[in-house]
Parts: sequence; C-alpha cells; structure tokens
Amino acid sequence: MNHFELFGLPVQFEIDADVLSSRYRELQQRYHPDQNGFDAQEALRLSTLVNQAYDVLRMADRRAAYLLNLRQQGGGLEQSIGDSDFLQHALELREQLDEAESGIELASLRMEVQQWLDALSREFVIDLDDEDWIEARDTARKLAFMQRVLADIDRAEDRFDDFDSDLDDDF
Amino acid sequence: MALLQIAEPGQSTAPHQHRLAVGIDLGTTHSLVATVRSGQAAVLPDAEGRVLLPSVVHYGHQDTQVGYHAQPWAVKDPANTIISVKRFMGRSLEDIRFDHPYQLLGHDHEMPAFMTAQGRKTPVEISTDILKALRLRAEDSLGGELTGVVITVPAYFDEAQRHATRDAAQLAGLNVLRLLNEPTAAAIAYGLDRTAESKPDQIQVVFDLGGGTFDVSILRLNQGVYEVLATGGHTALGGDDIDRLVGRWICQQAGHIHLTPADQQRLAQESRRVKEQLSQTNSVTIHWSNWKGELDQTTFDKLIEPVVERCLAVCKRVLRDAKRQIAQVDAVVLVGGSTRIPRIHHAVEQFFGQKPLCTINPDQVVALGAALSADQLVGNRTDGALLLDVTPLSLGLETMGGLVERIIPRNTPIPVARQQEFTTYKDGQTAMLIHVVQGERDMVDHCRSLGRFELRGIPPMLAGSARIEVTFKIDADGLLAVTARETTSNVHSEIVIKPSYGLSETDTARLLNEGFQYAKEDQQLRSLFEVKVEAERELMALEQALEEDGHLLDPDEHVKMRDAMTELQKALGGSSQTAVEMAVVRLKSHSNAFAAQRMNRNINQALKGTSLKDWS
Repeated sequence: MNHFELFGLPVQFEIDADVLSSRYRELQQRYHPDQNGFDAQEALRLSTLVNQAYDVLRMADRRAAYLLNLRQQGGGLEQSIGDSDFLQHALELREQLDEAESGIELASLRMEVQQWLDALSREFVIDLDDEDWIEARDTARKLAFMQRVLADIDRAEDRFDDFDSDLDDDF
Repeated sequence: MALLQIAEPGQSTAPHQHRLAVGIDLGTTHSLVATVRSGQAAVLPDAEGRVLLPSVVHYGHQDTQVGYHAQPWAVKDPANTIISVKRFMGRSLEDIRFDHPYQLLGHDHEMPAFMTAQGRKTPVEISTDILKALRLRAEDSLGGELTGVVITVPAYFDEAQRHATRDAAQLAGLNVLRLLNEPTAAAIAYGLDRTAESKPDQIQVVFDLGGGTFDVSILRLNQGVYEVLATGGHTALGGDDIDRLVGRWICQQAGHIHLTPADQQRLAQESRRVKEQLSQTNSVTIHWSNWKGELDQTTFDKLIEPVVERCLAVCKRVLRDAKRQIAQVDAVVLVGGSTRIPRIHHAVEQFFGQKPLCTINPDQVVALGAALSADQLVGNRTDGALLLDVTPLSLGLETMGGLVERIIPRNTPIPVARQQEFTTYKDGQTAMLIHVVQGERDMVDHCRSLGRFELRGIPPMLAGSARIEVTFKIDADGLLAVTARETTSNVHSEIVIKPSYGLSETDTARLLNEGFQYAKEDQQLRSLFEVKVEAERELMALEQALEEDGHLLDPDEHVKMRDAMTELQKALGGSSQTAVEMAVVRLKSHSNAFAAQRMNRNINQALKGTSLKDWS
C-alpha cells in the first residue's frame, strides 16, 4: 500500500491540503497509541508510518520524488540540476539571501521563491502526464532546491530576530 | 478466540472500574496534583487546604521536609534546602551558570549531585521526594493506589531532561502513562472548557511563562484532535530569572556587593515579594541591608525588557515554524504565574493583537490538563480529544569536522522513525561510534549531547562495503531509541549506549533496555547467529586439533567424536537455536576429554628431560 492509498487519495501530484490534513487526523485517531484498543507496539508502528506518509505527501518536493519512485523513475535524483538557466536564477537568489539586510527583504524573497515553487509544481504535473522522465526528475530537483532556499530564509529570519538559540542564557 | 466471561450466580460481571489516575505538574517553584472526579478536573489540596506544593526540599540531619515546611529552611540552612531543582534536571555541571548557594559535586559533563546533610542527592532523587509527597496526597485524597499518572514537562525539554523526569517518577513508585508537554496540557484544559465555542477549526497559542521555564506552542484544534503545529521556548527562563534581575538592582542600589548564601536566599524571597506586589501596585518600598528605596512600575518594566524581548522572539519563530500569521490565531492562552506580571500580559496582548485568555487559574491549568489526559489514557473515558505532539528540538549526528547532520528536524510530529545509512572507512573496521545531539546549531559543540552509541560486532569487510542502517525512533513521550544493523550480512550489531551525562549503572541498563525494546524480534535472530558463529569456530578448532593429534584418540572415541561433529554440522545448516546448542553440548562431552589428553601429552613433553631441580 503506498502513501496515497493509505490516505485514500488519488495517486497524483495535485493535492488538496485541507483534505490531506483531515485524512491525517482521521488516521491518527484510528492508529495513535493513545487510542485504546490497539496493541501498544503495533500502534506505535502504525502511527509512525502515518507520520512518515504525511511528511512525504505534504511537501511538494518530497511528493514529487515519491511519485517518481512509484513509477520506478526516481533513480539519479540526487544528481545536480542540469538546467543552466535555472542555476543562474538560483545563484542570484542565493546572493540576494546573503545580502539581505532586513526582514522586509527576506519577505519579498520568500514570495519570489513561493512563486517559483508554484510554477515548478505546475511544470511537474505536465512532465508526469507526458511521462517525460528526464524533465520530471530535473523539475523534482528544482523543487527540492527551492524548498531548501525557503528553509534558509527561515534561518536568516531567525537571525534578524536576534534569536541565537542558546539554551542556557544567563539573565 | 475471545473467552466469554461467565459470572457466578448472584454476582454481576464487574462494571468497567474507574481507575485512579492523576495529573502532576512538577513545576520549578510549585508543584500540583489534580484528578478527574465525576467528569470534572480538580486540583487536590493538602491537609491544610493548600493546592500548591512549593518545590522545595530540606535535607536536615534528622529528617527530610518537602514543601511549605521546607521553605523556612531556605534562609536558616540554604545549603541543605534545595529550591528549583527542575533547573538542574538533565543538566551537566558546566551547563549550570546561574547563581545558587549549593555545593555541587561531579565532573563537568556529569549530572551533578548536591552535597547535603544526608549525603549526595541527585536532582532526580530530589524531584522524587517532591513527587512522593504528591503521590501521598493523591492516594490519601482518593483512598487508593494510583493506576497511573501523567507528568508534565516543558515542551522545550530535551532528551536528558525528559529521561531525568521519568526516572524521578519511577523512583517515586509512579506508573508514568505519558510525559505531557505543558502547553499541550494547558490547551486540553482550555479546549474542553470551551466546547461551547462554535468555530470548528481553531488555532490556539499557549504562552507559558513559569517559575523557571518558558514555552510557546501553537496548536490546531479540529475534529477532536489537538495537533501541535510548532513549539519553542527556553528551558532556563522564568519568574526566577525576573527575581534575579530585581535582586541585582536592589544590590546595586544598596551597594551590597558580597552576599552570603543566606543573604542570597533572603534576597530571592524579597525580590519575589517585590515583583508580586508590583502586579498590584505602582510602586513598592524595599528595605535591604542599610538601604531603603522604591522600585516603581516603569523601572521594573525596563529591568525585565530583555525577558520580554526573548519571549516575543520565540513567539515569532514558532509562528514561522507553524507557517501561520498572527492574524490566523484564534485564541491566546496564558499559563504560569509569571504571566500575571502586567508588562508580560500587555506585551502578549500587543503582539497577538487580542486579549489573552486567563480564565483558568494560570497556576493550576497545566495540572488540570494533565489530569484530563490521565483520565483518558487510563481508560476511564474514551471520548476525549487525541493529542498529536511534536519533537521540540532537531535531532542530529556528529559528522566530519564537528558539524551536525540533521536527521529529525524540530517540530516533526511524533511518534516518528528515521533511518540513516553509514559505512566503514577502514578495511576490517568492526566498530563505529555515533554521537547523537539535539539542537538547532550547526556545530556539535553548540548542541546538547545526548549520547554516544557504540556499534560493535560489524563483520570485517573492505572499507565502504558495510551498510550500517541506524534507526532513530522518537515515541509519543518524546523519548529517543536507537537501533542498528548491518544490512549486507544481516548482523544486528550490538548497541552499547554511553550517555553523555555520567549516569549510574541502573540508568545505563535502563537505556540499554529501551534501545532493545524496539528490536525485540531482532534479538532472537541475533542470538542464533552468535551461537552459530561460536559453534563454527569450535568445529574449526577441533578439525585442526584432530589433524595434529587425532592419533591420541583410540578408534572408538574417534568415531564417536566424528559423529558428534556431523550432528553439529547438520544443526548449523538449520535455524533452530536449540538444535545447535544441544549438538554443541554433545560434542563438548567428547572434545573436552580429547583436550585433556592433549594437555597431558604437552605437559609430559615439556617435563621430559627436565628434573624437579629445574622447576624449583
């Protein structure tokens, strides 16, 4: 049983986020160790599986990679991106990120990256439909890249808030 | 096949019994115990009707006092009166950088022990004494033994702190149903209190500033499920620290430089009094040493500004982690006595743009939520909401150059399992050291070290050929278990867990036990493999010995031995551990005799040509 089947969702890239989270809650209500009626070890295992599947399904890059793997077309995903135009844009983004001086700049960067993610998502659906695996893999790599940039923007925002994550500050 | 329950005539089948379960808030400055009775959660008072139990323990020469009776000793005998022990739980000696009057023993990387009139006391044992007092109170109130308890911990507590808490509870003879995060407990208390509210899908923020810890959690309440979206905090930030800031100010004003331990405690008490009064009045008069002065609201607010800033910074980050905007927050809940401070209350209101809820006593709300959870987990009720919590800190491994590779990021829903594959870097390498850390920093040195896992028994291979799969599991209590196996040979490597905080033998055994809990079935396979390997080695050695000295045996013995060896060979081809073990035993009865003969012959040869004179 694949993750989509577990969640009762069609095996496709487009996903309704609300339906996904609703199904997630239903599944946890059925399998979570706190719900009486299940063998504790079994519940732990199932609940962990549900969490794992949810993790894959709700992020575009992971969902894309998973879909490719389901079709046995996921080999070589860890290779670098081939599209040099894209790489040029990516470099610019990184530079902007490094040079950002305020939360506002970061917010606009974030919007730009989100637009990229949306466009790449649309592209992936087409690649999948056309069964253009080489393109699909490259799009999946780009999705992963953009997701990482988002994570880096998060970290940069932490720094602007003067958040140094020190567990043992002295007041 | 289910068995039918047939009752004796005249006796009805026992109705579902109400099991005694309680929730315990083991707080930095105060602790509470609560239970659910007739569907209502309520805190349990002591004999004098007080619900709060000061988290203070005094170790006198003759006896131990806990709570209100221990408090006066703080000034009379500060070294033996342990206050705020929660700040020491799961912490190594070098972590402890705040002022305190205690004599701590131990190495830098160990969980320290307090030197008291009754000898060494670890933070775990001291917490146990507090928990015992609460247990007694509960059992007296409820008239029976407790089936289980839910104990709350700050959401931001790490592995070591959680383990220490659970150990303390177990030492107190309590059956821990769940380690529940404090903000989640508060959400439960409020969530059920607000069933009248119509909005089906709510985002709730819990802002919990207690005596010694700070937590912020963002939860989603929907379809009877509480889902923690993100959590954050600081395990060393609370009312105690505000007291210290006030105390420092007083000393500066009074010109008082050197304080004795007794002074420190008196100052702490005075600072707290001043802080609490300022929640009611605009200005407070202070007498200290030979000095008299006034502390007003404005000055106090300025003093605690760093605390406010840090709290709000955490709120910002948690919102980001939850991918939510302030505008999406439906309710803000205040928890912990320190939220009574006007500046704090105001700052939260301003930040979230709405009036925070504090209709439930902020001192009690966590215990009440824990009681509701305990009631559910012990089986008294099945219609309560399901809690889906997250791990608050990223889990990672040390890699080349002292960097951290993140395996499980913070705010991952639990229970969770992640796998990571490793390989050997030297030919014939049979062991590997894995250092697990918790934290958000990129360098290992800036993170919390959880333990060094030593994997032994890797079959020797060429460098890079071994495939060691390490599985990290975090259970519903937020506790970690690590298992490992070498996949090319399917050897389940032995795991030796060396916790980073020098814990006792008992603790090490406990940790080992937990590690194997998840590999129970694997253990059997491991055992068979080991037995086989051992037996094969013996067979080989025996073959060698027979080649050299087979002539020592007479033909009858030789045949019997060969038979036994063939038996063993056959058993080794199968998968029955018992068959192998039995064949080994049978073979041994022959091979032992053979070995004795060889030994005698060797001794004789050694002795030949020598006389007794040579040996004296």
